[in-house]
Amino acid sequence: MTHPGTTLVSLPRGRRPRNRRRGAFGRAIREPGAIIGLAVILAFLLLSIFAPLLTPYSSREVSCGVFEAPSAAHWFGCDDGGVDVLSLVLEGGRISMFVGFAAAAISILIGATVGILSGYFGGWVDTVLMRITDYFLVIPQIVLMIVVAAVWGPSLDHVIVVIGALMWTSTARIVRSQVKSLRERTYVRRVEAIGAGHLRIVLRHILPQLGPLLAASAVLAVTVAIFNETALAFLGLSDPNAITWGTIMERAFNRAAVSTGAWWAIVPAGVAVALLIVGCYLLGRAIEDALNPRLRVSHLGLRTWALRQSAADDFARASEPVERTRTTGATPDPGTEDQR
Amino acid sequence: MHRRRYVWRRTIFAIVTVFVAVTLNFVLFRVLPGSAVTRISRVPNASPELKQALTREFGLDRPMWEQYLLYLKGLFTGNLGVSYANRQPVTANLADAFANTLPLVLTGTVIALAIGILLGILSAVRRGSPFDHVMTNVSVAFYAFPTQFLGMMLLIAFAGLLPSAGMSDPFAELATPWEQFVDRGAHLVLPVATLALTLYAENLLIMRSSVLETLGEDYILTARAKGLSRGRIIRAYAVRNAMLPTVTMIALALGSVVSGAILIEVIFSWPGIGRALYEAVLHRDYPMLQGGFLVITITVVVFNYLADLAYAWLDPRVSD
Amino acid sequence: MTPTTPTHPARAVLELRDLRIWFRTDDGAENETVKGLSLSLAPGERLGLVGESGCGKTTTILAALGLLPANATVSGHVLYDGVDIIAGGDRTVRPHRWTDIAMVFQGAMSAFNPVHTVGWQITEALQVHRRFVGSEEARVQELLSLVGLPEGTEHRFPHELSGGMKQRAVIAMALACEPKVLLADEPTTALDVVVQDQILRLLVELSERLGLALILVTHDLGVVAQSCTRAAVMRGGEILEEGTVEQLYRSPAHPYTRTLFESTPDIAQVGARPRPEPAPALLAVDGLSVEYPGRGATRRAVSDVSFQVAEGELVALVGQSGCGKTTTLQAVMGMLPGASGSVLVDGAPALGIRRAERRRLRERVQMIFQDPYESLDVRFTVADTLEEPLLVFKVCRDRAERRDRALAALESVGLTPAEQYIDRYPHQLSGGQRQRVAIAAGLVLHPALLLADEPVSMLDVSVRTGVLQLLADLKERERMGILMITHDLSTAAEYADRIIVMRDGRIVESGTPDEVVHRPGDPYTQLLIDSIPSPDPARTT
Repeated sequence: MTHPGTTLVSLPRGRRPRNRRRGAFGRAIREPGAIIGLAVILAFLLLSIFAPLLTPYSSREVSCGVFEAPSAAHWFGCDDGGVDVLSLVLEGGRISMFVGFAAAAISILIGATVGILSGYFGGWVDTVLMRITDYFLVIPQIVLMIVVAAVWGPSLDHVIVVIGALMWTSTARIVRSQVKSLRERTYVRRVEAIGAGHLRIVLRHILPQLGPLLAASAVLAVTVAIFNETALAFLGLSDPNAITWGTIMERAFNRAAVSTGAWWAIVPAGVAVALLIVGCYLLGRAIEDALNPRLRVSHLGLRTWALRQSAADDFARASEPVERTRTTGATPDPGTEDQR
Repeated sequence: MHRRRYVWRRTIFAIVTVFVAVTLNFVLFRVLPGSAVTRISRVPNASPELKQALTREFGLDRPMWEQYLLYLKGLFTGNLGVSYANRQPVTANLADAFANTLPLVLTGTVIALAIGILLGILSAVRRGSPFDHVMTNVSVAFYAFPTQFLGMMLLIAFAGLLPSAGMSDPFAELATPWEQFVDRGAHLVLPVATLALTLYAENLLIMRSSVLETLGEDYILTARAKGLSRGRIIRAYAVRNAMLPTVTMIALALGSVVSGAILIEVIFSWPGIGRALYEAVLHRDYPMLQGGFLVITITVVVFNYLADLAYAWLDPRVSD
Repeated sequence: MTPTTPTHPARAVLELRDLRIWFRTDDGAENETVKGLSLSLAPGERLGLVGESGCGKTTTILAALGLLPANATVSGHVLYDGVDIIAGGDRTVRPHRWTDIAMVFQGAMSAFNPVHTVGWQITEALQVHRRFVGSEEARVQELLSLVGLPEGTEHRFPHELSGGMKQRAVIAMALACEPKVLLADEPTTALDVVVQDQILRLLVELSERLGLALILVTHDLGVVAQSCTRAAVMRGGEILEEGTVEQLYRSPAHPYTRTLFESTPDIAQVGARPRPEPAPALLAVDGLSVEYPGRGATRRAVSDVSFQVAEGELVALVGQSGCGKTTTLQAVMGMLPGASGSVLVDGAPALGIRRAERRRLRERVQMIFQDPYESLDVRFTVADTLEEPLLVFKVCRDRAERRDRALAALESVGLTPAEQYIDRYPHQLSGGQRQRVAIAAGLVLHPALLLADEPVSMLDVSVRTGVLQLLADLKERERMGILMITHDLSTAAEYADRIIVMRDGRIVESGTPDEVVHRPGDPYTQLLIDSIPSPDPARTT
């Protein structure tokens, strides 16, 4: 990827992989952050899938006292209606995650389509689409979501569609700039010169390269979607009958969990949201960072190059005196220097 | 000359965006099927007279384009209709709410910016150090907690120590201005802390990665070759240049300020614009909802515009 | 050129002694990139450090200023005026940076901080090192005029300067604190040949006037021969041979040095060749003009260009960046339907055509691109890449036939045995091999006309010859017509049957290499020829 002409210096690159080439995925997945993120997401997915088997009590029926504190029988305590909080959170995770992933899928689909059309065709297509994107980007989405949800009425489907349809802008912008640069790559121009059609170029040469980028956008979109779901639910704009992490917190707030100090009615749902978001964020971030070549170079790290005493050193000193620099004294410390 | 053209373009963009928002507002409330205002019948506690008055006011018996013009005319004369809830003009309601929101949002945002940018820079220049790891991990955690969750936790933790609701204590007899000031300040602490905690993390992460990106630029290597000290390179090069992308990114993150403010005002019963929006949703008070949407959008557009101007001022290359 | 510098000075101003450099890779392995290199530079001497990409030449001079990244380990000594400046790591190098040793980097485009003026950045160097205290402003002006920049340049931002001006400003900044040694890393690589010549002359003149010792890192032997007194040839982290430029040119001891010189085209050695017998024209460009709508007025990228390429003929379109050669090529490819004039490829028009016609055109014309590292999709094997055109045009019945044609194309570009290459991924090929695969992908459709866009400019010198020879063979063997665009007149002169020189969208000269080189009709052609650095040090221009 480095052109001899465009960078200041081309330092030796690492040993090249022998197999099919390690892409951003491959590089990212070696980062501890990405591994933790992926593990968290998978764990939550499994918990959601097997929630009906795991919930100790029914999430709709009374099984203990009002705001009963956590105990061996009810690990996370009970809510205002005497419902087991652990069961609620497990059950709520299913819908919250479904809302998050579905909304993210919608936004990625729209964002990728807009971004590819815009970046690939350029010209007036680009101008029009990017103008629209800019407007969507500036208008505060949460307020628009509130308005739309309020006008259409509270329902989970509305929440999904509204979040998905308003969240695609950042994906569109990132994809567009990536496609624009891919389009200028020599291999794309070569395939174009061969006579390949747009569809072939996009599907076979551009889309596969976007894979990691779309994956990163998707997991980051999940965080925003889940966040927005809890916000809308908290404002009473989600389906009042559905159990989601957002409605659990909303109910707890409105039924005076705060003033009674029943933190256990709030904490499990909030921590579940936070954990899942951290997982998605770590994974998405690791992929994005792996995609950004500029982060791989640092001309001003904390550490600098290291010095190694060579065997030939003694020989050199013997054959011809070498003045040591005054500042270092007798024992120049080899290795890292904090140069501040 | 380039700069002047850039400023013009951003100005026009800002104006057009406001216009788009205004139109969107109209479309959302009037044109879409099942839209709100047309269903006058659903207005709570409305007498037949009021319904008639509303129909006349909105011109609901006229064609769509005439309604649109009527709506625009209303906007320009500052008439956003009458709140269904308290029968007061929407404009007056919003003006009060807006004035209440400003101190909360401004203090919270400024604190979040200051902390986020400072720690972001320190984190970036110590990339890989324990400090960096602690800073980024803590930020990711704060980034991940829902605003309402953080707010409720602070409420529980500081119950009894700090006031938990409203802007001031209505029952206290506060004689001196100083006592009033202290009371108001105490009411500000928890909401501002919640807002700052939710926002600083995003700022820190944005600033950290912008500084890291500039540290990979070739001119940093030139600066080192020039014999500049590490501190000078960080101050005059890395931070200065990293401000460019940061200004834009932070402007785009204004959306989270808005959503944070709404949730916080609901939790702390802060009589601001976010709470007004929430109440409007609860009572299906469509004129208020419409007005609140407009005011918030225009505010965000204005701040975005200011960020664009700041960018033009910071970057001599601005031309496109 | 004044080769007055003594070969064995009393004391070297800069000496590298047994320098070794390792780079740690991500998986923890250590690569030794520079292997025990020793070099000494006398005051005022100009030394060329020559080598191909990856030989460690840039790493070496970065190490001399302690600018290596954190994954590097260094051993050995860098002696400035007899003192080991790297002995204490980064801390002990810093006081010597810019005051004693300064550096000029390759990409002048990105060497300046974009948000500060040129003057600010030069003044900064003076202030940090407390030089010319109180008269910084005057010193900046003096420096800028020293490198031939107009007054007022100090108030301009880097993006407001052209490439050549920027490189001059970079040199001015390097000289700010009156260093004794200047390290220049490919200072002219990104520049056009005329500007390159000016910058090299400037460096030589400054070195002589200021008694500045210079290490010039480059891949171009011509540059070294014309501007240095001594040269060291590097390969694989080691110096293979060292001597005066005369010695190296007249009697190279190492075979690698000989290969390098042989691969460097020498425009003076172009002789008259027999004209090929007339053949029918494959490409006929007549009165081609291309306009781009600009701000206010339209800009003419190409105006009234006419030429022909015959079967079995290699025509080179030569010119500097922005002269319109690439636009001309695009018009021939049928990518600019709005161009005026006429372009006939094998009798079929390439202008004003529709999609279906363009498809048919593509079967007859294929193109080779400049950048071999990016011209192949990294996810595609060689087989995928070669079979793609066949799939696009649906010319084969089945997989087996496609594979056969891919194998045949590989054979014809000299990648034999073809079976050994066909299942590889691009990262398993060298730059030259990649370029051959890209050419093969153009050949599978058996086109009549091949368009080559700077086909060798990003390849190492020693690989260029092979690729150019391949083009010459294809022309002979397959009777293809080849239109090659290049900025390098000497390469064109060595391989082309005819040369067309373009400037500002017009053809200023055309003829056989012999005619164009030895009897140029246009002063611009003469300027181009004079600007090309000759690998023969005796022949100064």
